[in-house]
Amino acid sequence: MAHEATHDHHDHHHAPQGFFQRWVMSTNHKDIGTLYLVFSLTMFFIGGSFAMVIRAELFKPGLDLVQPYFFNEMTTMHALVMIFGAIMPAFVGLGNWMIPLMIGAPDMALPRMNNLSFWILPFAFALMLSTLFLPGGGPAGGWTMYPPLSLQSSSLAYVVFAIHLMGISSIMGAINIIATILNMRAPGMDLLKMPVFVWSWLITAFLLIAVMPVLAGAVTMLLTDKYFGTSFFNPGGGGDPVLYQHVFWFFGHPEVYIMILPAFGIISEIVPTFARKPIFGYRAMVYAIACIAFLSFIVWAHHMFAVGLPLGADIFFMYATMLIAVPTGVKVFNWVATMWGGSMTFETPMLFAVAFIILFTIGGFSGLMLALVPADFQYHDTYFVVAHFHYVLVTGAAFAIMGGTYYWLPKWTGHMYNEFWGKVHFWCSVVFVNVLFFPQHFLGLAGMPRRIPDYNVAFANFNMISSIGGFLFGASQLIFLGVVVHCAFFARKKAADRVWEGAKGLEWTVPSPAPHHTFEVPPVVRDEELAHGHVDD
Amino acid sequence: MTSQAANGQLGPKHRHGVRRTVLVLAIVVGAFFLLPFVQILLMK
Ligand code: HEM
Ligand SMILES: [Cu+2]
Repeated sequence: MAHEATHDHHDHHHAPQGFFQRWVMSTNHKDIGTLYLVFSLTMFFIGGSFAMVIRAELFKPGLDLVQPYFFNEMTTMHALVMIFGAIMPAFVGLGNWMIPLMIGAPDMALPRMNNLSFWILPFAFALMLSTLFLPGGGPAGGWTMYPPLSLQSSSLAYVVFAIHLMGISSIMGAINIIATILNMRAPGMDLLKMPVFVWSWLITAFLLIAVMPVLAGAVTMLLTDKYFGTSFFNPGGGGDPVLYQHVFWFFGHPEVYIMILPAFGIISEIVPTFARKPIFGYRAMVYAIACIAFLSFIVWAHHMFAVGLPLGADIFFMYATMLIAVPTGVKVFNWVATMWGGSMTFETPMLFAVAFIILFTIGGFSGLMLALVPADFQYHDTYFVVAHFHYVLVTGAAFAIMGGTYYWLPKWTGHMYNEFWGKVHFWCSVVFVNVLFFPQHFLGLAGMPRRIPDYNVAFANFNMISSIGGFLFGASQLIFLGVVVHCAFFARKKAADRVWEGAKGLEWTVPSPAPHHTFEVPPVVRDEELAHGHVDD
Repeated sequence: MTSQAANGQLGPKHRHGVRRTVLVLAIVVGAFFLLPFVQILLMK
């Protein structure tokens, strides 16, 4: 997104080389960050187009537009593309750009591996998306790939290989981030002085390292069950399909936190800036993230209540899940306390942050409802679950990414984005996303199952409302694209080095646009320059 | 564009720290990959 960095006047030693050298061979954290962000935005629109197909088919009852199998391919691919292609690479891109700038490092610790991590992704996604054009069709058993259904797909091997590649990319990215944060901090940047965004990424990287290999193991077992005669999940050979669900969700639940912890970090950067106050309870924020990360490993079976677990397991996983509300509540409380008494202004990043706090909390509450075993027996596999995870993932993760993009875009490009159109994008998004997802709570409570192309006429009205919200939300994202492209290539208004009046942290001490090489000499870290002021709470 | 770190301009202290971190993390990755297999074999 930040192509302006090409016109970089601060760097006379390494004039940018040709396109191929600069982008394909890049080992520069800023360029690789840009590549990740552009990739993520592309995937966001591809995954979004699948969502438009889904909402068009569900606009009214009946099988109207697409074949049922194609519909199932769309729900499966929508999830895989959005999770692995849009949300995760966006966070890696933001981390690449901002972590070295925030800790005063010249680059990532392993720049060549950084290049490889990124360039694996286009191939992995080309492979996965190409299965849609195969004679047997793409995967259609849902992103969770439960056997035995997923084993029927003739494209399983392609998808498993693509997931292996994505996993390798994520693991290398996570190793790089940990190695950078642990080894490359400027003198004086103690761990407990790092910005909360950096902390959130450090903890997220440990989650990635622990669970991506488990996903790789699970899909490898699917592959050997289908092609090499094993029966990990086949009762006929002494296996058990429920075992897959345990292994998958041991990955899957931490995975959903991988998609929200960096978002917490972004919100913890934006809110203090626009409240012009240090973050409230810095240490509590860090400990809460660590606590959520730990708990995320012992709640996985809340996705499986309906398979019929032993009563003791039901109760353990129910209480463990409800416990997550405590550290999450600490975070929401601290964001609100940061705003309390601040002199707030509401530029686009702050609008997204405030919307995040309110709407993510709604998603948290529906999560709590789903955590109750007897209630989940009713809600499981209905649109209530769909409503839940879209509140946490769209108004949570995606809103944080958009807020973060507006927040740092002037630093990347050296130009201010158009505030008016940013606000238009925000208000359209926040209104239509609720039109899209709020009625899905009612549909779920009334019993509409998820992942179906047709439904009972009783559900017609809310589905039509939801679809209209969906089309308008989708269209609103074109405004986002417009604002970003305009800012990167056509904007005239120069951005100051410290783009926002209340912004603190090392990243605002470098020029806008951030020159190609920064902090080649480690900066002097002064406490009053840090976002959370003096840490002695 | 080559970065400073890729040019080998990091000091030896940083290089050793990075190497040790990567080694430890690589072992953790391997262990977690094997975890589900071990678990399943133990349950047999
Ligand atoms: C307060 C914290 C949360 C609680 C208590 C919670 C609880 C739950 C429960 C019990 C389910 C299973 C519902 C079912 O299938 O019957 C679920 C599903 C889900 N949750 Fe959450 N959740 C929370 C936060 C989050 C966050 C932060 C995210 C992601 C950013 C998330 C993403 C998801 C997803 C993607 C699913 C659906 C997975 C699928 O079946 O495809 N949740 N949640
Ligand atoms: Cu979960």
